Amino acid sequence: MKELLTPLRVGLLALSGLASSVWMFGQVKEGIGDDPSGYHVYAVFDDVSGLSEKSRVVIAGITVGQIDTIELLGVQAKVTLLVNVPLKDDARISKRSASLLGEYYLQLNPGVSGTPLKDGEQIKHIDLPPEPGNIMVEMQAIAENVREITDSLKRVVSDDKGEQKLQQILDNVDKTVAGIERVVNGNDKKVDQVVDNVVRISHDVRKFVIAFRQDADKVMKDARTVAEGARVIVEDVRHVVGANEPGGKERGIKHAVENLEGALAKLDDTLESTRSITQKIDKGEGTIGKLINDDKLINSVNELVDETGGFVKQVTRLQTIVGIRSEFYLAQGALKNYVGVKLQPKKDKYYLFEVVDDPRGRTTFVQKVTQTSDSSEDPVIREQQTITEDRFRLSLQFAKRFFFFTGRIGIIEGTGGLGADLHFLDDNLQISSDIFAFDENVNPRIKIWANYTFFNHLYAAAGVDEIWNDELTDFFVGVGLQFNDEDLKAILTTAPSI
Amino acid sequence: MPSPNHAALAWLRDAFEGLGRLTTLFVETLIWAARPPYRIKLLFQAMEFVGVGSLFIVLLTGIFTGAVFSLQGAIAFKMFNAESMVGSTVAISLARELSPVLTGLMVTGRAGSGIATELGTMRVTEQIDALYTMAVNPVQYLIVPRVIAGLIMVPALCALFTLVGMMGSYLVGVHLLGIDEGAFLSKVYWFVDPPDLFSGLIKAAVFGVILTMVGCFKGFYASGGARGVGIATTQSVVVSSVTILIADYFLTAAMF
Repeated sequence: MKELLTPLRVGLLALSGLASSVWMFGQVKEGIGDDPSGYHVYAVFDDVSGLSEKSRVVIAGITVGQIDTIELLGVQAKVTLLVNVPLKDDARISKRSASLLGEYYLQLNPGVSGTPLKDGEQIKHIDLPPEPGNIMVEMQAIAENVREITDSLKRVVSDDKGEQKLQQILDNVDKTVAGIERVVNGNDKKVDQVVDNVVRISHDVRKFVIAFRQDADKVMKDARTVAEGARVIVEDVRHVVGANEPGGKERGIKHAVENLEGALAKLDDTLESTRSITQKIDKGEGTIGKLINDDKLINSVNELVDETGGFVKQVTRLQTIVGIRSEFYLAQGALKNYVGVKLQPKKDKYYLFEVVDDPRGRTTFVQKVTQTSDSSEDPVIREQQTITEDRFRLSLQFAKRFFFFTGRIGIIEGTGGLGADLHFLDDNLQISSDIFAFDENVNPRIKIWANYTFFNHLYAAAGVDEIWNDELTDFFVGVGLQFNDEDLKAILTTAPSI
Repeated sequence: MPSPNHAALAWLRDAFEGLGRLTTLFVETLIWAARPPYRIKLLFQAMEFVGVGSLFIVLLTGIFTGAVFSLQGAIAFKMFNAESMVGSTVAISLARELSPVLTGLMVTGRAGSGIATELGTMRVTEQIDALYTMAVNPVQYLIVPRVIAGLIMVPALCALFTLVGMMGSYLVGVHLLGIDEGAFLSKVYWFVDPPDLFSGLIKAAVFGVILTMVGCFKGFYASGGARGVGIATTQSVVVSSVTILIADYFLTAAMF
């Protein structure tokens, strides 16, 4: 038993010694030094007294590094820091006092703009905050000033004369205040009256000024009327007196009165007619009356204008895109051509009409069933004809876009089909797939291709057709051109007229 | 009556002779340590004697050393209103100096003296000579296991000394004197570095070799019966302790 206990005891001791060492090493591991994201930067200070290697480097009170080395650089001190936060080249650093015992640390401002500092680069901006030493100097200066003031005061009051003067000043002030108080207390009623009078007078003056201004305006207006009347009278008199021939004076006056009567009669007529017309208009009679009094018309006009505006908007928004594309099928060695018009009323919606020239032509199946009564033959003969014609195929599709995906449905090359496009790189790259011609072959025709627009209206295409029908699978490459409204306008206006 | 000069020369000659014999014995120990047979059982027995036997006294010393340093440090730091520095000061002192030195001294007092007594008794009772007659090298049989035990066990004891010393310091500082716990621990973690702990363990290993080697040497060359054994024991403790303190100075100078 003793033989077993010895190794056990020794082992336990060795193990506990090892474990305590490991635990302590783990606890006191060098924080920043072991950090793989740590890197070195340096700053040059005029004075690093109080700083030492391993002193803290903090941002907002949080330790982000430590001083690695301090070395002499000419007459300055180069302090190399090991930090684990990104710094910019406008970072600022300052030496701060941790306590009045002379312990210092470095306060870092990581900077907001500029290029990031790399390992071994310099923090160029050094702030010099007030240090306890400087504060002491300032305090000393303030104390000097205070001492000067107290010295002066002391000089003033130090001897008996100074004290007497001060006492005299205080007595005078006291007397003055007492006098003012006495005057105010004795005459407060009179003072109140004076103030009331001043208020009343200023009120009266104000009223008078307003009234005077109104009167003055009236007087000015009257004077202007009088002057006008005088001018007319003078004019008339000049007319009357203007007839120089004998007996002409009476004739001129008579003539003038006649003219005046005639003019008044005409004016009466005119006023009567005007009154009649306005009455009719008010009652809503006649065209103008209806125009003015009936709201129906204006409502109709409004509706019409609205609808016209909407239509015009839609028409102006409608984009027309004309495209032409040729694809070269590698296995067949033949070209397939497309000419199409895309009508796009909205950004996320379009109608596509295409005419396709496919080298495979258009294949139709014709089944002929013949019934016969001849007993030597089969009573029903079925013949199936496959006819392939070189004909254009038509596509008419409706497309709707959702984010980077566009779904298409409609007639694709003469048969029902579906299509999908994925858009990337600002719509320059388009990956498309069509499935159509469900009954032409064993499996539907599936075509997948990619378009890349590399120069304004020009794009390249490459893909594979008939993926599902192995014997027909063919790869193709192609190019295409695409013009929109703006391009067409430019082309049409610059093209020579026929 | 020899002249004083003669006596001084004789002392000097004895001193150099002793150093030479110690060095020779140490080299022999190194050589025999590398040669088979490896006596594992003896090694474990020596480790138990040096390490396990000294554990209690070392732990007791450790916890009170930490506690008393915390108490004294707090009084000093209170003058500057910087009590939070107590933990880090005690921790650095323990890790670098106090743990290896005090562990070395404690083990010297308990195990080094025991080794010297045991070997001295074997020498004066001619058991060591008997080993020669049995073709067993006494250096390999008696000294190698003890020196290796010192080399391994004293660092282990030193680590535990530091740990319990810090516990003592924490108990006194935080729970008795009311120092802020967060400040106390954070300063310990910030100021104490792995090299501090590592240097303490290296020192402890060196002191382990010194104290066992001196104990073995003094016992191995003891002479003069029971009295000679007593003198060897006393001398081993004195020489080991002084050597540990002197070696500590040079190790510190070399490491920091």
